[in-house]
Amino acid sequence: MMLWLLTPALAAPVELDPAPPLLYLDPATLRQHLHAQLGALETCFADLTDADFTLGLTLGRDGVATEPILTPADPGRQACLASALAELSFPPHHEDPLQIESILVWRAGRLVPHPHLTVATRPVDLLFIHVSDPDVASALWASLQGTPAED
Amino acid sequence: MMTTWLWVWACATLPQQRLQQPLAPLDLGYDLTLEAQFSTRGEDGLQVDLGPETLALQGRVTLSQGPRYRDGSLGTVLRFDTLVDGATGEPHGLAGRAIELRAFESGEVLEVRGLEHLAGAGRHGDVLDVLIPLFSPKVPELGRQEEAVSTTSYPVTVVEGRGHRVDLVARWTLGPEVARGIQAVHYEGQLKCKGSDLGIRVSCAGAVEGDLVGSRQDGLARSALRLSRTVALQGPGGTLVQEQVFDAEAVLVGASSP
Repeated sequence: MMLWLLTPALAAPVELDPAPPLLYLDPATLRQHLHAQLGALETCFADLTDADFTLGLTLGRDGVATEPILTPADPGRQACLASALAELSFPPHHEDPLQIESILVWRAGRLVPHPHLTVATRPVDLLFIHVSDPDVASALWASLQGTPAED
Repeated sequence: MMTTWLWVWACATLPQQRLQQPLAPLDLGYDLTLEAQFSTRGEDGLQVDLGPETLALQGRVTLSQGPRYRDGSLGTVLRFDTLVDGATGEPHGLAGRAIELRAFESGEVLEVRGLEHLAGAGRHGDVLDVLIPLFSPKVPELGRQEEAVSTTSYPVTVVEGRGHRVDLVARWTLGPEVARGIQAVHYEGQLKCKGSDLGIRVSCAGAVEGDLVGSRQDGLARSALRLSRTVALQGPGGTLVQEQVFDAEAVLVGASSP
């Protein structure tokens, strides 16, 4: 007779919510959080009429956004954003610091949510084969495809 | 996933109404050790000059109950809390990351979510699908002095278009009751896989052998396996072949409420 019986603790009713999520952030989630907090950045654009910028951010594992990069370059406004970012919070996550990019649209005295948001992806060349040197892995991947990498 | 294993194995003796009770959401902590050897060669014209490599990992892994899905499947989050390179003692790239294994209560793994975050240089999670049979062995119903065969098939998909599916057939035997309420189980099996990676054909074949020990109090107390396989990537430039041998062990160190 098998002795495998569930313990009383293991047999207790399950709580379906909340479930621990995988803490990886997809662009849709990031966009939602950024759009909800655009107001905190508006003070940095109050001197403008209408303008468009591309905003790059680094998002740490703790959800803190730092290192704003504005395009076109505007050092003064970028410094203002660096301070304003302290008001923003994103969910903590499992990944390395994420590089994200979005578009800031300044119209009629407010930042208008824009759907563009991208997350920089890691290059992953050779899968299912363990090669510790990433350069060697990349070269093997290229050779496998019949296009040897240039030195 | 661990709870799935208990569930299936326990089916042999538990009354039906008890089996229908869901399991409590406990976080299960395991000490994980993994050692692997890799030997790589080129075939079909592919020139490869690469010496043998090893991978050694030591650390703590936590299994937490994840979401329950509409189709009845259940997610289990496998988190690498601390993980160091066993050779250098330095933190490994998998440390702090997690995946979710989604499976039916039969033990059939339907999906591995988050694998893209474990793959690639410095992480190598794409070759660590051996953790699936380690933490989610599909144990058939077993009685005393019986053998039983289980078949399972699980996807190892990093992103769409980059993955393979593993088919594993194993024969299980019930071992001794190593202590009161603690049972040993042994299994041996064959595996093969087939898939593609951006047009490169992926295939593998190999063998797996493992031992499980569980207790009435703690569930799966120990899981160990040796998995050896030959992985081949076939492309226009030739075939890249790697012999992979994994020795892995997970030992339960504690259970707690999340």
